[in-house]
Amino acid sequence: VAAFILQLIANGISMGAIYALVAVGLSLIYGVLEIVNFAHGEFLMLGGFVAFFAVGTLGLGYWPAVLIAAGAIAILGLLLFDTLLHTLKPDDFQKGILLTMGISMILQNGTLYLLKATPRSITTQYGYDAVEAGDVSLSVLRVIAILVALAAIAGLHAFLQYTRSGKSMRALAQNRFAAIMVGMRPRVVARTVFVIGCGLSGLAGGVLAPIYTVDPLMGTSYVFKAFAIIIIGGMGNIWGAISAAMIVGMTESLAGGLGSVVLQDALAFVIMIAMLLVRPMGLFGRGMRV
Amino acid sequence: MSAAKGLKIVLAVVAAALAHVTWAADPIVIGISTTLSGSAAFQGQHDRWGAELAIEQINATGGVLGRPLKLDIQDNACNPAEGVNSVGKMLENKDLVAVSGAMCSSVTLALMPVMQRANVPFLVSSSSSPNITEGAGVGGNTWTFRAGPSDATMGVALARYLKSNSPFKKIAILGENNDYGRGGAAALTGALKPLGISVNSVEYYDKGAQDYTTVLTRLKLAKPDAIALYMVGADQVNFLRQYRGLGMHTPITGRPELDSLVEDHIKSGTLSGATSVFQYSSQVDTPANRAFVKAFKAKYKEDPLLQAAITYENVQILVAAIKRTGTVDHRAVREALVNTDYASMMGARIKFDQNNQAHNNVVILKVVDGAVKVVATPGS
Repeated sequence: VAAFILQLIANGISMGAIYALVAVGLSLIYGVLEIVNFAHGEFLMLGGFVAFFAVGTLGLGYWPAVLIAAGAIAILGLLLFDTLLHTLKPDDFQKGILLTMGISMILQNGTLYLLKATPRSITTQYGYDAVEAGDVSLSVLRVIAILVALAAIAGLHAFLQYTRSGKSMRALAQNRFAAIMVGMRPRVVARTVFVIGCGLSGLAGGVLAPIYTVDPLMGTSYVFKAFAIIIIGGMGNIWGAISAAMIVGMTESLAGGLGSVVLQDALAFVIMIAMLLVRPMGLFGRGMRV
Repeated sequence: MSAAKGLKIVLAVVAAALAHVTWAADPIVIGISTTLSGSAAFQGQHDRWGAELAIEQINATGGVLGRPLKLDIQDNACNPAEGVNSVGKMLENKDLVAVSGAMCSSVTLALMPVMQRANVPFLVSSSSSPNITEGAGVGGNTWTFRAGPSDATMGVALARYLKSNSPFKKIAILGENNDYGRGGAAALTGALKPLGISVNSVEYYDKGAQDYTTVLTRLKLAKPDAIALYMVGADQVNFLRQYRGLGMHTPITGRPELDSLVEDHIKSGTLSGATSVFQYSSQVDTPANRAFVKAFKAKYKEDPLLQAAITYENVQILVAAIKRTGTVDHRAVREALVNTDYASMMGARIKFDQNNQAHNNVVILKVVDGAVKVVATPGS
């Protein structure tokens, strides 16, 4: 039974890391741009397909495929920003929701039309290997997912903290008016944020693709949970999103393992509702304090 | 009668005749409600293809009653509420003769009363929940017909096979948290108990889940001799990948879909020794099935799944009934369907019992040496 609990904890950590990787890009985009990006799940799905084709068609290994997925989705983000999203004004909250929902539907149904609903599997050089410690085992791909999530979060933190571009993002998130007053160009900052956010979701797609399967509808299952997570953590707060992701991953694993698996998927939303009742601003409140 | 009045009458008669001619060429519409989105969309695609192939072949030989057939295909997203919406539009169409659907048992169960109220014949596609038979036919929903077997009879066929061909003493069941998974789990449990095989763990998961580590960890703890699956499509592929990732070797049974989606796991030996009871296999060696598989592969480049086969035969059964009664009147077609006697490509004859349930043959599939073999085709 001790091994069973330890295994559940290990599973919880890996699920939490995966959720964090998915939620952090969503949180970043909301924190700075105040755009609720409903297309986030579809970016993740496209990242998964890019990785699928990189491995399956081009015969690349795991790491090039994951990096290409992140890069390709970042470029897609750049194109979408310069053609559509830059038109959003700071107070166009509803317009942003409609626009990203529209993009999400077009991407999902377009992919469904072109690639069909057949779920695809990727087998990389890591195959089905597992890391074992006593009775606890975790697949190598999940261990890598945890490490990639940590690296991505550390990288994002360093970027926001120490680079000029990152500082201007925080400035814009904290006080948009003052940031413009001192000569920051909101469109340039917004574009960078959107591209990074999209790149992160492409990265998540690439990392998840070999663990699960890739199909045009996979994005939906992540995006709503990611929304619950960023609401629990405090909309737009990156550390809040990460903490909430770990809380949700761990609760799901323990409650599912010791209680009932059927309740697992509802838990994120139960926590979200409880959080909204007790502390409507989320764990870490609003605004991006990094 | 004045000349003008005479001319009017002639014109009216001509117009009526012309109207009749155009009406006669109007297509007869068959509604298809299936799952074209969500994690079972792959199966829904085969459902759709089966129907499309059937009407293409029938239209090529002149249609029915001199009218071509046309499909009205709607997505039900494997969701009962969407399912009811999916047939709403169809039922307003005066050319609709019957509906085949809805693949997911929960949706089929939701559509049954809708179809009964509308007095439109409803041919159940691949849904296998035993509750459908219980609600249909004499004393219940007389508009619902199911040509495919139910999980109750498939569970009995599998239990008998496992009793005489496997050493299993205790089995764990993993099913979707809906009418398919719960119905299947109950049916298999009921069939195994009298034969002395116990069920030591029953787990349900929410359809469309990506992560199965929790449920796998629980199954590992239960240490069953075999795991019976009632899950479809992308869910099952995801499950098997993670089952393999955890290095598990507990044999799989129940109703796993041993098709092209899991080819990798069949070849690699992950699924070695797995057994499955199924409504259909493209390997069934009858002339009718060989012809169907050949036509299907030529058109869609994939082997047909059971969804394609059942809906293909549903259309054929319906067309045969329309031909027998010579009209597309809903009541007449329903009466004709009751007297169905159709030679299925599975080798049995499809005749509906008093619950409007047919008793076609089923297949027991087994993974042997990295390939799927039909090891038995018991009746149901």
